[in-house]
Amino acid sequence: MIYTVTTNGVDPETGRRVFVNAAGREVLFSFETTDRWHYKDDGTVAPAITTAKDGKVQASPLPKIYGGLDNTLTYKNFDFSLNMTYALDFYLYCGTKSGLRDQRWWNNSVEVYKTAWRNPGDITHIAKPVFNDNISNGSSFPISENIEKGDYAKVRNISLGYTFKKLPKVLDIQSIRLYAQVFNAYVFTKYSGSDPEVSTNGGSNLTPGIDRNTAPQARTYTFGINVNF
Amino acid sequence: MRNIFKTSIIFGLILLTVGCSKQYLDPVPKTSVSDLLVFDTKDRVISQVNGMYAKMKVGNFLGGRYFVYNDVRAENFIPQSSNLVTAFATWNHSVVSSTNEVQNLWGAVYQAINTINLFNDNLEQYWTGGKLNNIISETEKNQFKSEALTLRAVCYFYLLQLYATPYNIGAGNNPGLPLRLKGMKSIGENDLARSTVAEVYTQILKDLNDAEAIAISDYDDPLLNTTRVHKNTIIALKTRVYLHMQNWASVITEAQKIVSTSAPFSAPSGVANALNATYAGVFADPYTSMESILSMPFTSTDGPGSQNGLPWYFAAPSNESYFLNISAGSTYSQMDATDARKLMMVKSDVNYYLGKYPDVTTNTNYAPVIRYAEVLLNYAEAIVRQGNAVTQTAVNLLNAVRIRSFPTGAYTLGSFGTVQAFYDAILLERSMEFLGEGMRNLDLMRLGLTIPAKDGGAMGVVQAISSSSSNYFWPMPNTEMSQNKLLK
Repeated sequence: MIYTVTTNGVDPETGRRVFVNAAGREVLFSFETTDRWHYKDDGTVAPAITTAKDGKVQASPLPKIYGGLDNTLTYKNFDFSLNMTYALDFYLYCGTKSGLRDQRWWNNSVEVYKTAWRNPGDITHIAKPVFNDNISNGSSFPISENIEKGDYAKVRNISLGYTFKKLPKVLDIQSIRLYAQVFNAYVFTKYSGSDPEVSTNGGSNLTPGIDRNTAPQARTYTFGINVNF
Repeated sequence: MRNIFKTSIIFGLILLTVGCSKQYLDPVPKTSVSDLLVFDTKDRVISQVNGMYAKMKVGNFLGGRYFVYNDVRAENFIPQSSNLVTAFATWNHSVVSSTNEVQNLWGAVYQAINTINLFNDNLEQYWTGGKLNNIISETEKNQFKSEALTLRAVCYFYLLQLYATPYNIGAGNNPGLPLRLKGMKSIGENDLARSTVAEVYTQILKDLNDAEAIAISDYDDPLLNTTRVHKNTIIALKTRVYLHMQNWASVITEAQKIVSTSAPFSAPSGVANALNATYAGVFADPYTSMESILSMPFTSTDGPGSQNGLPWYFAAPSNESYFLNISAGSTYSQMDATDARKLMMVKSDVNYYLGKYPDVTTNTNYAPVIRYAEVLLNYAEAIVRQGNAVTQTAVNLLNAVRIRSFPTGAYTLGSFGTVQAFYDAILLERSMEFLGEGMRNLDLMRLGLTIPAKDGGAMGVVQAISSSSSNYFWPMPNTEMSQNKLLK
């Protein structure tokens, strides 16, 4: 389960990240003021938002629909196979986004520069940037802003081969098959992170769905020859 | 036939050589001792005592980080690195419940408290059950108990300073800490509400007073006198605790037990604690001068862990250390050029670093918990605050510490037109004397003073934090809030 503090976008008036506390009341966060947390409705000082008090289960990283498609076609001496897998209706926590939006002098994201809130009335998902403010971007503790649908369909394997059957007897070879294969050929997904199938927390089945700077699976091209004696 | 004969000879030989003795079948591990056997020999009991100290000096607590947090929170240090592992969030007051420092320090201190509680409970139980009769004497048992109680008091005192409202605000009638006084051995005992700050102080003083009555006076060994608790350690700690409670009369009563009536000041009974001749000598090998009342020891094979030790945070060669803030109003800028404490600093590139803890590679510098200089300054401040007037004795005490490092800077009674001038001078002296020893934040908070703003250049400008601000002290950590249902 993905368990985070709930956020409700960025307040267009002030550019602050809107947090929702355990009681459902909206709280704004401003890093540079003396008191950092204020209620949105009346501006009074609010107690700090914490994961332990205000966090809730937001979404499930376990796909409800999953399956695959396995197809092999042969035509004369060609053989072609296609393997696809898909997983639908699940969510991922994209922690990489927090890292890229770090407000110290790390990362310097162009996204932040171009889309951050600037003037009252701006509607955006990046709060007003304040140096050293790593709470509005979800670095200090996870926020629901970074939860995304992870639905994907992956073309896992495409392989194409040609078999030479009629070979000169002198070689004493029955057949030679040449093939080319692509593993992890393509992924169809709206997920903005590197790979909807990875998890920072390792391979454990109990802690899926967190992506923080994880390296995606590589695409591999293989060429080969099968010789049948 | 021949084959059977040969085989049986071989078998027989094998059986003979691989003889079965019980000890090989059922070995008792020598280094992993069952908790039912830890009071079986005197050595094992002493191991447990040492184990309590080992938990205190872990890197996350007194192995360095506790003192670092209390120094970098205040205005005298600027970080080289914005790494959140090296207290950056503490420096710029952006800690939240999930921040590393907040969770790790709390965890380390409560682990120490539990180790102490388990030992203390068992010691009592085994003693009254007569199981320790031939193993340790009653004097030894009392001594160990006094050490346990004192260390527990130190744990709770230090935790209060960072996680709760200072005593002087509301006379301690604010949420304090969950007071765990019994060892926990299993899960399911986590729920415990916070006692008030005043209640925690009451417990701290009870532990210290109980300990003082049964503590050893002198170990007759300089290393033990510095690294283990004795009577004067407890009295010195009481001067600090009472100072934080603003109970000036009690500070004076306690201080008079270990400070002679006139200079050169020294303890008239127990370990002859006194100021060291030189400032640098306090921080030089073997770190066991008469001034070091309690320090946490380290060796090259038993260090505080990487990115935990005082050298890592304050020495010039470390690339994640904090350099001194030298801007106007900072402590550095108010130190005289001939002051030994300033001369001990190291200039590297354009910045100044403390020279107290130079050993970055093997981390063998001891971490000072309390030294005699502080007792003298606590005493001096209490005298003036109690009588609301500057006295010659108070000036003498302040001077003793001051002229040890700055011989030409002696104050006279006439130097202080008002008591406020004295308070400012003594706070400044404390800041100069204890840079890098985790004192500054304690001094600011115990008087409800604003933690000053600081300009870290590329690291950002940090706003001042007043005592009414919600981040004057640290929030409860997530780990405690999620496991302890009664915490609030």
